[in-house]
Amino acid sequence: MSRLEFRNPVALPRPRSATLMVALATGTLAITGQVAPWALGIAALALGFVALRGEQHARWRTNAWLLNAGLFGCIAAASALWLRGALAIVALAHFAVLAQALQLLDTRARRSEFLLVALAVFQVTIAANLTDSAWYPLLLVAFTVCCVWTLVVHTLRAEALEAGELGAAQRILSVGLWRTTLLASLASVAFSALLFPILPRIRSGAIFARGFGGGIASAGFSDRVELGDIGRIRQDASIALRVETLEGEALAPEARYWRGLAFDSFDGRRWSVSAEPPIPIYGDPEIGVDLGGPRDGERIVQRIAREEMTPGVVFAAGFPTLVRGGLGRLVRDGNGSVLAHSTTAKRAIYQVVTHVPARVTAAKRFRPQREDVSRYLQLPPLDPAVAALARQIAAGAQTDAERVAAIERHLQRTGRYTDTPPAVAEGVSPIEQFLLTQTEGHCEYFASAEVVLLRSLGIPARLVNGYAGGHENEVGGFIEVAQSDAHAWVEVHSAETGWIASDPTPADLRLAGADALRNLSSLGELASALELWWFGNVVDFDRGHQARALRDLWMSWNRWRAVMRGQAGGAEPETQQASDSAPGSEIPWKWLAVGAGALFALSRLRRLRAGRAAAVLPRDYARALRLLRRRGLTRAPATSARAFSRAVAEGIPPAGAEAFAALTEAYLAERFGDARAESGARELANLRESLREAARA
Amino acid sequence: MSPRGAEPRRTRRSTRRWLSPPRTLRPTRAGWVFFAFTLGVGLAALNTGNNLLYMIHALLLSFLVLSGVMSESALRGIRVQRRLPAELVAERAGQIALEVLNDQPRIPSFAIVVEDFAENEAGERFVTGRAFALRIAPRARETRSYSFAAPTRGVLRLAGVRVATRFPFGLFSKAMWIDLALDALVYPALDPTDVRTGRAGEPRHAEATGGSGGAAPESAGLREYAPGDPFRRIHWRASLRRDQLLVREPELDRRRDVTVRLATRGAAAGHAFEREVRRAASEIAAHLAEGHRVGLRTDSAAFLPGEGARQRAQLLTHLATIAPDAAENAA
Repeated sequence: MSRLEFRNPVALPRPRSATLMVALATGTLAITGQVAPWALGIAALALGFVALRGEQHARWRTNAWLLNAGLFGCIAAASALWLRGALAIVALAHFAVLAQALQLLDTRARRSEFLLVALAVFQVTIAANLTDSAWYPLLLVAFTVCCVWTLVVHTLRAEALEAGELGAAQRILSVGLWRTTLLASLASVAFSALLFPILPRIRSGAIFARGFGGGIASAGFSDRVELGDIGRIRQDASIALRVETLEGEALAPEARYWRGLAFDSFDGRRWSVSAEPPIPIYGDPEIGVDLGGPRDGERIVQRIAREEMTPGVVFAAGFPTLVRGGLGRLVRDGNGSVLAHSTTAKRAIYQVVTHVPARVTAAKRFRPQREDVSRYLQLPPLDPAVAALARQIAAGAQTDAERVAAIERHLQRTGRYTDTPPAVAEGVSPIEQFLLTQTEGHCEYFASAEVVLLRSLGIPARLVNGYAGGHENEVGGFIEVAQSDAHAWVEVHSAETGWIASDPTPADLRLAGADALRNLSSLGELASALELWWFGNVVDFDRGHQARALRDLWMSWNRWRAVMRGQAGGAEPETQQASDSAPGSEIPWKWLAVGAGALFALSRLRRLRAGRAAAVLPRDYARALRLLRRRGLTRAPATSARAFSRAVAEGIPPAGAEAFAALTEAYLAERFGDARAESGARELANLRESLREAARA
Repeated sequence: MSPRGAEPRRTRRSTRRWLSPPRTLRPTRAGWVFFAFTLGVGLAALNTGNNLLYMIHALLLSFLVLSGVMSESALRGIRVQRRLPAELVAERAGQIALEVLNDQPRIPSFAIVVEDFAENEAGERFVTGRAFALRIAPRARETRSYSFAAPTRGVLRLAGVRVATRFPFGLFSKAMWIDLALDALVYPALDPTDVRTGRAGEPRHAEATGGSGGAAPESAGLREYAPGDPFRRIHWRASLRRDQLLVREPELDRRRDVTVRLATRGAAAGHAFEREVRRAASEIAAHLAEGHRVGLRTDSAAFLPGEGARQRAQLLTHLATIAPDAAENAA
């Protein structure tokens, strides 16, 4: 007889966990945001129907023709999506959601529940390709529990039915089995957590490196800025960057600028980057790439977690000099912006070293000397009044630095910040309107205006787009930068120090506008901190992490050996103290202490529970049971006290058997006869002595 | 039926035990699919470097490990004891009991399938029956029985049991072998034979040497039931009163001495000889059931007429292993 396939199809209703498992699997796809609402709606309807009606018999639910037609419908819908340009993986996600809903509605007798489970695992696997949300692991753990329960129940039912024990198949669901399943699920999760960091990271990209799953990204930055866009971005409070300062002084809120793209070409309405081919930056970012650049100013090392963004801009607090992380191939455009195009469709986490440039007032001359900066002097055809205004503002200034400061001050003083700039009349340049008529707009208007005024005076300048400000996450100790923190400012070229930042937007008004959108509670901050941990330690886990973990392990081992050697050989107190205080050696002891404490608490809990269970028994009888248990004689729950006494009599000497029989009768008298048992100390002593003699013999 | 050990067989068993692994693990169809899926996810993870795929891959691998651990916990500590019926008769179903014990102090065993194996003359194993226990509590035992009809008389070589489980996920069938070698004797098949008339229906190969024959004997007293006594002689009322099975003793003066004859010399092994053995065994059983004293005479052995269960066992045991031209001594 074949033991490799269940012979009898199971017609019993599925356990509730199967419905929950499907719901969780669909949930993992729902959080990707890639599955169309109509498909999720169909899945939700099927789930709701099954949750309410269970496996109630209906002819259509067992009709093979109808169900097969439904399957063809699922295939057709997914194919149509694919043919209309959706990514193959997204089409597969739709197929999985629809086919799973159909499978859930199918009430035909089944030999294996594996199809339902396999479809659910398939959904979860597809979701892994489409999201890196911190909700995913939570759903995955819940999914694991449901999956284990569903498989266990089906296996036991199928076995029982195969053996012809229909009653047993229906009785199988018990608290004990649930406990076993829960423990099994947690063991499974724990073991996979151990496996996860040691699985080899290769990232070969040999198959479907392009086109299968890439290209999914949310809009954010682009290589063109049109006056008016920033107003829309400011309404978006979703996280754009999370920044941890690893080395150097944390920047004050008004000094926090994360540079993204710089724009040199302006047509009066739109900013863009001149069509200069980007230059590749050689080196492996996973090891670390030296980007050169100015090294004046304070050195800051930051770890930045950047959300999906087009194009894959590498943000930094100033000009990056060194970058490290899984960024793939890097390029630098003509304006000094660093781009990692392979990170367009995904979150990027990297460490970046920057040198915060000096303030604009420190520079003396803003004239080109070494490099060709003619394109930073380019201006669209503008009303001559603009150039006149520039000269008027800078009238009293002696140096370029004073001219820049004067224009910056002028704009800050006269301009009014608003996210919704006034409508521009047809044929009029927005920048002309801003400068000559109504000085009202958002940061792009202010920055554009400053660039235009500076270029009118012959000072090279460009517009920079990035993020500024941010919100301190006190729980996680990092800065959260939202899309609403998107900002534009100006870089002015100095012959001595290169490009220096200048921000003409009134800071108080801009920050007030951005803060009004942010309303994070402590819980929200905690969630954000957990999310960052998830990104940094799981999603972004790579060969570098593995190598560092191995190195740390090796160093901890060496430290531990040094400590042991020191203890054995009477090491000098300083050495020992130094070793003890090393961060690597503290952690194992802490964890050992926590583990020992947990074990102690667990043993106390078990003893307490055992004590409670024994409390219903008279003390002497309970002790006698314990003595016998040590000799391997355990009373099964279904065995009566007298039957156990008779069974014991066959295994121990007569004197002991007699003593135990007396104790049993005393126990029964107290338990059922409402009589207080006399002390059984003598019988207990006899029993103990008898057992000892038996052991000696 | 008696245990019998031959040296070559023992050596063969011992060698087989040493060579075979303690557990055998065979993936089910779902298990193969699971394997393929795990491999696919692993390759996808390597290809893309997607850590969530690595996470799922780790989870699938842990499922495999967990499946192995839990199935091992289901099998560990399992012992099986076999209980045979009082007599095994060829072509007649008898209940063989399998007592499955879980010796583990805390962990229950789930979905335990026990398959009982016997060996034929060529040493090939075949399943005699199968029993299933859905759950065996820690330090508990479950008794299951299966119905088995031996096809022929002779020695039935029971080899051992294969204990298997597909717990917890049905991905693998893990099994272990427990040696439970036992040689069981199977009596020849017994056909219903009417021996009451003693005249027209008198079997040709039986000779009556005393007693009156004729009608069914009347009871002279009661005695305790012994294996082999016909059920229709049980005195149910007295049995209920005394709380033990009692059978009616036939009156002594109505008993007959019958000797059943079986020619063995010159007979060839084969269907005809087997038919004769079957006839002889049936007559012996029928006469004894009627309360007669029955003996057996073959060309090489002779058993004096006797009665009761012991005589029945002696004669049927002899017939179970008899062969043509067998040179055996009378008991």
